Amino acid sequence: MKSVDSITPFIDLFWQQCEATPDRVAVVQDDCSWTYRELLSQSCHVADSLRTAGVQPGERVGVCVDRSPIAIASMLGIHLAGAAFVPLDPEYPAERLRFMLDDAKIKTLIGHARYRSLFDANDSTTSSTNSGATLKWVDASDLIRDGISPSFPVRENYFKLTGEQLAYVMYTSGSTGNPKGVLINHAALTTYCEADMEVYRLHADDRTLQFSTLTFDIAIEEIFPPLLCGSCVVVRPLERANSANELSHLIDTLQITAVHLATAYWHQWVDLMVATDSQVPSSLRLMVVTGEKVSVDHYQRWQTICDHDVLWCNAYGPTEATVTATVFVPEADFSAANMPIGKPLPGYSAAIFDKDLNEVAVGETGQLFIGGPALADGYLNRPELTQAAFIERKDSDGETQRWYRTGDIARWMDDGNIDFGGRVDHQIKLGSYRIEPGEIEAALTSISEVKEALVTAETLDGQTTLLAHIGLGADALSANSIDKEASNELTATAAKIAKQLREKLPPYMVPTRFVFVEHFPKTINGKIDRENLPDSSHAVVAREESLVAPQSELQKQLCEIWSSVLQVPQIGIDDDFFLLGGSSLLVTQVVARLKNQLGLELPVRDFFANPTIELAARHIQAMLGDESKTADEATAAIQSQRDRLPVMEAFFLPSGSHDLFAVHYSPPSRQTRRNRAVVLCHAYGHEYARSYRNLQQLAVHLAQQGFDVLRFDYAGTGNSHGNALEASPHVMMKNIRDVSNWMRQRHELDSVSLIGIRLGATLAACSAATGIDQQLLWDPVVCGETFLQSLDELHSETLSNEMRFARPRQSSSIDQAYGTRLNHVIRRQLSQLKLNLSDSQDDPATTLLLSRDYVVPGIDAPQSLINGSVIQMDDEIGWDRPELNESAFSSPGAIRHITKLLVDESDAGCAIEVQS
Amino acid sequence: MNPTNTPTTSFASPTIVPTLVPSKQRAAKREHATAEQAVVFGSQNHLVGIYHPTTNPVDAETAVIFVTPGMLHNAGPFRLHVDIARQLGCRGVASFRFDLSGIGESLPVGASGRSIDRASDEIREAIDWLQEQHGIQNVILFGLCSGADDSIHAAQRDSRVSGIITMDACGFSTRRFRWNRIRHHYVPRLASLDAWKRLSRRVLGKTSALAWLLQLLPDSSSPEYSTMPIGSDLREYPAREIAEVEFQSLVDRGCRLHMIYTGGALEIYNYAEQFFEMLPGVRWNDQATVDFYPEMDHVAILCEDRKKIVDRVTERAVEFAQQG
Repeated sequence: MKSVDSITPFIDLFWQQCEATPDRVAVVQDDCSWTYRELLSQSCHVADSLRTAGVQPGERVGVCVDRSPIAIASMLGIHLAGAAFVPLDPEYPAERLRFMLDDAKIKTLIGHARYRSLFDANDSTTSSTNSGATLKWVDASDLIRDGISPSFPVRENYFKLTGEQLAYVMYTSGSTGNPKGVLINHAALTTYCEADMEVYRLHADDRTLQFSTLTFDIAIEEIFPPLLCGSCVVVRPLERANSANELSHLIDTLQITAVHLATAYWHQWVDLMVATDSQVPSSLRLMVVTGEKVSVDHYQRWQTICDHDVLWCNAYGPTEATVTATVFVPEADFSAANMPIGKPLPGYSAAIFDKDLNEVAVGETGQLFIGGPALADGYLNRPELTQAAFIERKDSDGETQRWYRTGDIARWMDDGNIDFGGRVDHQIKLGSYRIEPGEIEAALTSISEVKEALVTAETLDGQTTLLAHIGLGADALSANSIDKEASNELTATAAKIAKQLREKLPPYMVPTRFVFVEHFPKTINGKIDRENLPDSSHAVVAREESLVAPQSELQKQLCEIWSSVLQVPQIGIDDDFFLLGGSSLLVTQVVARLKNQLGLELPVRDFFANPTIELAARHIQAMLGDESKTADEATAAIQSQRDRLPVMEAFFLPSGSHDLFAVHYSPPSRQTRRNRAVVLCHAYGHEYARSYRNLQQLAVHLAQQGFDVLRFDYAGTGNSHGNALEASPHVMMKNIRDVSNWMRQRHELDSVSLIGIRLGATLAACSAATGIDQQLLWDPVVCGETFLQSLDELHSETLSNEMRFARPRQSSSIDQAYGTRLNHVIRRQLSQLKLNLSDSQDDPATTLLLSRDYVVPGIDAPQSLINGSVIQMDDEIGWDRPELNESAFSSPGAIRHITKLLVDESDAGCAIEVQS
Repeated sequence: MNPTNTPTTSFASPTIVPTLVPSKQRAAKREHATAEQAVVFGSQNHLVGIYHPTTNPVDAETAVIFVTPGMLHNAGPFRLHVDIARQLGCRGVASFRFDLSGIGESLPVGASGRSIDRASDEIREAIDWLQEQHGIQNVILFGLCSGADDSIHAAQRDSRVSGIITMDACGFSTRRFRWNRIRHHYVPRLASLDAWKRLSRRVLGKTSALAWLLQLLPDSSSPEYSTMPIGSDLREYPAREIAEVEFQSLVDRGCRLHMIYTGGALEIYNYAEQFFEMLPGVRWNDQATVDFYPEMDHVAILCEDRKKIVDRVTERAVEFAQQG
């Protein structure tokens, strides 16, 4: 890494460029056009003027100037005077501007005369500061030099800068309400500009549009790098174009080749082009989108309207890392659900650390940190903030490196790109779920009606739920006036959006209420102005059309209780508690609430037998002695529930010398058959008991989705024949092969899918079963020896910890581990078992499904196990918790992901796991 | 490099495609195995069970039914039901193990009523099936924990139940029970810091100030997982007075009882004779026996314990069957 001192300041590189291409046009706006020689001359004039005004090297000079050539010359001139510029936006409130003046100790300010009153110290409407009184005002119009000196300026006449000196202060919003000034030095600015030129392939013929306000660091991106390659900066004209699509008009008429836009504006521009059936302007060759998460849907729309080669880039970077730190350039066949933020720019470094500042493995999430010489010096006058945000950390070589803590969640992807997961501080904790609103927003913006989305949490009556703000666009919303009919329309729109969300997300991630707006208000930086969004009093509740609403008071009470316990906003009376994420532990919460509210205490198993609101309500009514329901109604309800459930067959099927107990689940009679078959492979030992119910629920659910499913017990386990000493890995793998073949033959299919959990996943992957189109491996056991070791430890601990036994027990001579009989053959075969999928190809397609708390001893990144897709799930199971060894668990995430993978493999994008 | 494109493993077993053998042919090949019959039965075809026949019955009209405990499925904890069924089969007693609705493989169809009544109804359906398919007229119910409660309750409602064998069924306090509890449970805990912490949290944590103070103690190890430890469901056995009436009625009609208690039920049962002392009003007429295994856990996790249970249950069930 270059030392800061050794990096040439931008202004010297610019000077060299002026010497190299003095007559090329450097900057143009309307009728004003300056060559590089003229821009340099103007800049030197600014520097001279500032010196005359008393500006000293190291000072900070304010710039409150509109986008214009003189604004550019002012920034360059300030550098030549040895000072640093501080962009000030005249749109800011006067109080905020005064805070910046004070904070940055600005004594001299370049501005247009019309903005002078903003800095008037006598303005009685705001609290007075001293800055206004002592401020030296340099009128921008006075700085424009009509004639250009025939002689080329001499560099030595101007201040000599070093890399570590301050180049500019860029104010960003601060959490305390006051903005914070980010200190960027010259080395950082140069590092950034050189990287920008390389990545965006800037060349002398480029014409870059200067579109952004100067107080947003997109302006740095638009102005500075193009001036190092002899290209032209085209400043947005003073007059607004009379065109429905102003930006396209500007690009076309000014023959712009490069545009940098804030994400929200780019989304709007794409929508506008799509709506007006226009194409991306033909002169454009570089499109950089930055500032917020890009909607993949918009990128796909962009592709449909772009009929020529455009280098499209998703740029990511905090101001603290000088404009842009990483860039993602999608391949032609890009089809991921999430738009990555790419790789670090040349000269930049990026790392993803966990909360203890340890690097996370590929695929694991953590917080993104940026390093390198482009990092800011820190925050002006905010040492505590600087210390918190900029850390020093020893790397593996023992060298200390400085990092900026971005506050963004990210993970490394297999191809070296970084996937962005949203802001750490925007995470929402809903019950036991940690939700990343970005995931919901991405799902929302993939819905065609939704132009913009923002998801937050709201707490009403002590209950936290999700609230979505939706930008529908002017046309869509103006069709909805404010009368009652329109309100119904919005409710219907909310229902439609929620319905589509439910196909993409688990129920707890579907917002309860929706606030619709035409467009989101934006901050001056083009980001969503959260504070000025309409409040939730404008929200409408999405009603699911297919949802059967509760009728009786008891059903409503139960819905409320379930909704609260499951954190699922809406529950229909036909919904299954366990498929919504319910577990036996959550049932106990329902039981407790029923006891409080109805004075009725029910055993947990009642809810296993009555898993829907309709059935539970009927059951409770009967328990309360309500005889209002007739026998016919009761029979009809039972029949209706049965009709929704699969058709079952139980039998034994042969595998070698054993008969295996199996249950075949066929789709309910009303469900269309998919002609696809699935075999479920159980866990082993005590984990068989833990996962049994979940696999049974999975079988029921998959059958309800149209699959034929077979659940079976290995020889010597469960209800199958044979004793426990016959349940060796060899035998179990043979069972898997035989059962898969049996299933293929029964359904006359070429292939079946295998789903395995824990050791069942490992055995499925290692079984060499043929005719398998897909294998889904859920929390597989990676090393048999470690598994065996933990089994023995568990057994030994169980005998001694007095949780299960009243007094500690001694081990007998019987070889056993936690209820399972073992012998040397099983031990040897288990010890030899190792799962390594990294070399396997995509035949069969293999996906790892990993619970949140899945750990492989000795392996930091379970994702590295596989040369295929990995899905991180939110559900925690606690395989290593001895107190839960025989407890059933629910994993609605697994059911959802497995269903999605089976139904449509191409739709199964990897979810970003959110870690606290 | 893995040229076969299969995951790396130490094993390389050849693939063998099973021949789909017609059931009769298979029966000849594996008489012991295919003798078991897996069935789906019940009014809604929603209950799953396995019938284990016997070739040399001590009484052709008697079979054992295993009633599922809690949320565990019909194979029983660590295959306890499977092991007992096999031994019973060898000793001349057929058996049937099945899942109550919503548990194990059986589907939840929403039969209402108290769960204990629902279990009785489903046990009756199982007896009906045995009667129709195999001519069984008398059944002996085996149940652990809630399965024990269900068995005793079902026996009240179905005269075809001729015997009951339970593990960790109901327990009522006696003077000796309370003394044992103080001596063996509470006194040792006086010296246990963990026990004091648990008690503090339970008793003191109800006020906000004390709850705040308790935050200073290390967090409870209870996980946020969506799971429930085994055996923590509500037990549904009746009050002592009703239990006395019910047991008397069973004894009076000739139903045989064998009660097994383990160290896993020490909170309700802690000495061998407690069963008779806690129900003093019942005239047992030598029809009830009790085993107490204080060293054993609730579900007989150890193979040696399980063998004891298997042997003992088989022995008593065979005796019950022999007596018709």
